[in-house]
Amino acid sequence: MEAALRAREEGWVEEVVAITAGPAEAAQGLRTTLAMGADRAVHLRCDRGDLADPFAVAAALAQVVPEQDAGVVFAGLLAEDSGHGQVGGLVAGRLGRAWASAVTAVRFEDGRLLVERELEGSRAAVVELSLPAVVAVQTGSNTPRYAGLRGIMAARRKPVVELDFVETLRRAGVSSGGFRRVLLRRPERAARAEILSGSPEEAARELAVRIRTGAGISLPAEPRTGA
Amino acid sequence: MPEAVSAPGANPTGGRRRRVLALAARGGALPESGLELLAAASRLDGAETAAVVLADDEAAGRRAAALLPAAEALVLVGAPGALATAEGAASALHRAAEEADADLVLLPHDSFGWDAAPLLAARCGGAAATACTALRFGPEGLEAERRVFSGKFVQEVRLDGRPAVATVEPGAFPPLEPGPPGAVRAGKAAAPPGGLLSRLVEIRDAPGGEADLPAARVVVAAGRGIGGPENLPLLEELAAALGGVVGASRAVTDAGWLPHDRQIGSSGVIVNPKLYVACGISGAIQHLVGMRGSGFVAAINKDAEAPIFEAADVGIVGDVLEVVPALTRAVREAPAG
Repeated sequence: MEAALRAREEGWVEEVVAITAGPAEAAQGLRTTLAMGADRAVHLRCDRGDLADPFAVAAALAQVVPEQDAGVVFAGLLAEDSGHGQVGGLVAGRLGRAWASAVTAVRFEDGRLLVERELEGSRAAVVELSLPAVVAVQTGSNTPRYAGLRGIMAARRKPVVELDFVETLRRAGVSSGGFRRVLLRRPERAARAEILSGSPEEAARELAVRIRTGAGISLPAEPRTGA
Repeated sequence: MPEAVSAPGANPTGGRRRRVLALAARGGALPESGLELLAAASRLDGAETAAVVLADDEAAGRRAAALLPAAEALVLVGAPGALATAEGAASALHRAAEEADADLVLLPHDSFGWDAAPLLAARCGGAAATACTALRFGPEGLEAERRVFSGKFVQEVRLDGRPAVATVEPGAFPPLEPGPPGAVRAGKAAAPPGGLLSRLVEIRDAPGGEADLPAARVVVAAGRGIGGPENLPLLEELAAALGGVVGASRAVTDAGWLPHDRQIGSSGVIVNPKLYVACGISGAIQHLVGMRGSGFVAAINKDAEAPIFEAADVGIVGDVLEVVPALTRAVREAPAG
């Protein structure tokens, strides 16, 4: 959301449409995005259970995005689909649009996007995307702005379109998601640490002893080196 | 380390062998993740695996392919740069999967794999199972396990799409030893039908920050459980007392409490200290991958159920803000020796 608002401020995005799929309570989140500065909103109404299938969520979004004439889609990376991290990419794949994930910076140049993707070890890839495009914004890359009182007041007058999720899927020609979350359970316990008991002081003293005997760190420690 | 769960794999369809493609290497280098994918594939009952190498240069691709212990290694050669993006890789893998009549395509759950997997899955008409820690073929298709909620729960998902697409969590499967494949075949990588929509411009190296973390002999790592950046000095004092440095989990660097170059984990820095002290870290696999080379691991967390206690040698269930200062005192006051 923050990335989209910045793009509008930079002048290469005309209008910001907030889209969410979720139950009735999700309307509150949409109101917040409108208060932050989105121009209008689309709410794909569904049951919480529908959100468990990233394929169906992506199919519905891929139906809505062209209908809303969205040229750039900014997707969250993980939170939106309980950690699957793929809704944005599925939307891009369905629509045949350019795609990049884990994006930390976006700029518009000569009719295309230049995005920075986060790689392992603090490296980054610079990728050029033709438009229209879908980017998944990395967590922690933009601090979202606060919605001020004026924004909250203005949000009340902004349009929110409600669409039915199942009906949208039907228009998209999708019936079954082909993805089922079967169950959730506790992992089998692997070998477990020895837990030191006692008061924080007692446990800490015992831990200091283990650090010396177990890790072979002599205490008091040698002077810090190398840093 | 949490051991990957390998369920007894039934092959209820009986008849033909399942075919698996694994994106084991890109270019001439063989990453650990490639051998982990082949380990995951080798545990699938009755599966025949082709290890895929994507390369701009056939000779380089063949170098990596020669080290991949699979039934077959398939070197897909693309135009320069064409396979460097998710889009290029997804197109090449999609065509290869069609030609092989594959049941499953495996990619590593790294910055390349999680970029390419959803595009590939969309082409295959389904969703991907991401960050999998266990895989098997069930009566209705691929069944995958993944860790959710900071590793505290296992989610089981089933994919009906064919081929199914899955990314494999780093560290979930002990890698196979490198070895020669049954056969090596090279072919041309398929390009996207409508031309490339994306292009890799450059890879930027890490900004030259403090490079002390990977070489540190003692690491004191901060998790979200430390409460806020105002409590970091407590960890810095402990690190100073132990002659070490402070690192962090992803939650901490994302929140801006510490710079990103302090992040330990599969998307950050890999550390190999003699001593690792995890403070308020729950222990998601992504983090554990970054510290599993540690000699001795101590964990402090107020949640007795936190997965970090499965990766630690000793632990204290308690409040970091109480235990850490007490530990600093205990370290400072320890009798010499």
